[in-house]
Amino acid sequence: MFWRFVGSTFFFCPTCRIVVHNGERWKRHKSTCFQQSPLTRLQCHTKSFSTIIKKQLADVDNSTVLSITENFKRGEWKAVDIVVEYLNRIHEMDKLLGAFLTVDAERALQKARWLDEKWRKGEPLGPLAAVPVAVKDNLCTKGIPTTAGSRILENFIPGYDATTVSRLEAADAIVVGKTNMDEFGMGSSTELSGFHPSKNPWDPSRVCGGSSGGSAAAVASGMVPFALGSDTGGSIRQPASFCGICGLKPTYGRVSRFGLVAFSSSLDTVGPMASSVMELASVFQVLAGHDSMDSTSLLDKVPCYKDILQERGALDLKDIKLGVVYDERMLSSKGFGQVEDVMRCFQESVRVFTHLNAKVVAISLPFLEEALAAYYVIAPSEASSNLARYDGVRFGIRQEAAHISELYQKSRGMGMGSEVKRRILTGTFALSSGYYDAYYRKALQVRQLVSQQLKNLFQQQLDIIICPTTPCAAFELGEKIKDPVKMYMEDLLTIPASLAGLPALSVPMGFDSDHLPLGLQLIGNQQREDILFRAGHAFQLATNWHRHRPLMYRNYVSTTTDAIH
Amino acid sequence: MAVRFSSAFLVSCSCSVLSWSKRSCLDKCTPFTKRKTCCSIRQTPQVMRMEFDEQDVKKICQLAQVQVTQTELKQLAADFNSIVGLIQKMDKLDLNGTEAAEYIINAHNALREDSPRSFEERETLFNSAPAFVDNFYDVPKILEDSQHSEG
Repeated sequence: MFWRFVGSTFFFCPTCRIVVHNGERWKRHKSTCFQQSPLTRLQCHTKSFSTIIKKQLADVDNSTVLSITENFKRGEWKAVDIVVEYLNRIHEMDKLLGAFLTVDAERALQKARWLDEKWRKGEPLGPLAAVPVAVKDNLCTKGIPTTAGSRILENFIPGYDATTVSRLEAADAIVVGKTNMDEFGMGSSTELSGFHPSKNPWDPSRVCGGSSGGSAAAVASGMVPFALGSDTGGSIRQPASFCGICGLKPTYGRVSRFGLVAFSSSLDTVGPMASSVMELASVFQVLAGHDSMDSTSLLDKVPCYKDILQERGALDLKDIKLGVVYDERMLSSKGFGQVEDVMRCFQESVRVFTHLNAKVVAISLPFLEEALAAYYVIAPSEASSNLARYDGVRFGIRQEAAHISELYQKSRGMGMGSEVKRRILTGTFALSSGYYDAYYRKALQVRQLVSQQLKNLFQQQLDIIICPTTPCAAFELGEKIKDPVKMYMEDLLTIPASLAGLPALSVPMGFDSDHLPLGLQLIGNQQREDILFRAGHAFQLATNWHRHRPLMYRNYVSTTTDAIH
Repeated sequence: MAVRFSSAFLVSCSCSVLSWSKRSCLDKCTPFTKRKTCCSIRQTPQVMRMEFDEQDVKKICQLAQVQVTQTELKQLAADFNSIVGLIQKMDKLDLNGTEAAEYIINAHNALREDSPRSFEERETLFNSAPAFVDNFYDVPKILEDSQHSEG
């Protein structure tokens, strides 16, 4: 699929298998030939190095994390050129999507120059060298404003990096900016950001999911090769599903939470989002591990995920037993329309796994609604405690007041959005004297029940549980914002893994009738991200849903092709 | 505190207060009032059905130290009712004998060496402070006027 420049006036289009004689006709042919796809590899004759990189990066295969690092280490591309290309993409596409809150071009270019110098001197380079990354705005980055999507932290600039960010920097990745999110991680659509909503690259009249919506939109539209997000009740997996990319929620405690703006401390995790499972595995290798600054960090050793993925027989999953949640009625009764598309894609994905020799067993998860109810007691309760620090005294926006309690009330009332207030008040109520047993303690019991039931399923020799990530594809902006409970129901399928602290991976599994992406969720046992990567990688070798790109990315790529002819 | 709405007149279990109306029963024994009359025995209600009105929401706002406008108050009361409707789905499960989950994955005490470490960039911690004077965070008055004059 490439156009070759044959002789001086003859052009040959191999896909249409015709020869076109002159330049004008050739231009017309190119615009009507249907093969204007991102898999175009162009042979160009321009001298400009940055234009060469632009075209090479337009190829889906070349713009992965691993290929960028490889090309940089081989000396084919300079870090500065890579960063300039991605900054151009951000400049072009972010006008429409609003995925970024802060873009720090100066710092990114400085790091890129430093990396080029390091390469020139022959010094050792990290595993993610010269790869641009976008960081969700609730992870602290030294010197870059960190707002957690909220106006109350509008002017907050941390003096230290989060552990995950410092590990990425140590691996020589380049932080280009901070992405938009629902305020403090509370929301499922990124419309509840204190600044502006982010849009879905597949259809900008629809949401990109939440709360890591900005990160998902940035990766899906090709603005960055990978991004960091945080997951409390599905906040990485749901936007990954809505935007057609892969997202991983690790085992609770596998990745350090130091530097993450706390929302719900027993549920928060930090995880990577990228276009394919291979990339997720290479990024996760850098992020996972013990951190003494996080008291809930696990002490166990991190296996080498790359070895697992490069084993021979990656397409054979014969020793893996999958539990498939086969209950269509559970989705259709909850008020979601168009469940047929989700079930069709889901059943096709299960068929793919059976072709890959995995054993498939039907299971049921009967406690989804109760788990949702328990989550919406536990998370607001913990949030009401964690967000008590935003009082306008030590950091953040402060309102004028005559008395200290007036200061607290005014600063919090004016700086925090409606959803944050709703959740703080729900949590305060659930923890208050007289209601603690009826709500919070009961929710903890439900959590224990859900975790126990999932543990029992895994003990019956199940390796992975699979189900759709979301009950529907991306909904329209403003559709669910009036009714908070409608928004909460989006998390129905992602919450059980969060409550139990289990790892879960979301991969693209197809498109619905409006050509919007749908996601498949794989839930593994504690600390078994290796099995998730193996199954996800095999699924992606057998299908190519993850290679599709949205129209705005293909339009951007086609403008680069017109530039030379 | 438990208030049962099913009977003709209402009994508050912990206060042993008899009341004809829902409102005065709630007034006597809401968790937000000081515990002058309530005895120390607390019964956990198995099924709670509550309707929130603006007064209840206002009391919760005072606990949480969040100021809300009048329009927000109306909206919040309605939202609370639907959220509590969602939360009450937990009542469907039989939870007798289930422990409350304290730890999910790891239940170890994370200890470290008792050796001091200093944070080098102390100034960055105060950069974002709204009002910082002489190494103190400057805030408006904390004590009530009457308390201050007595002290």
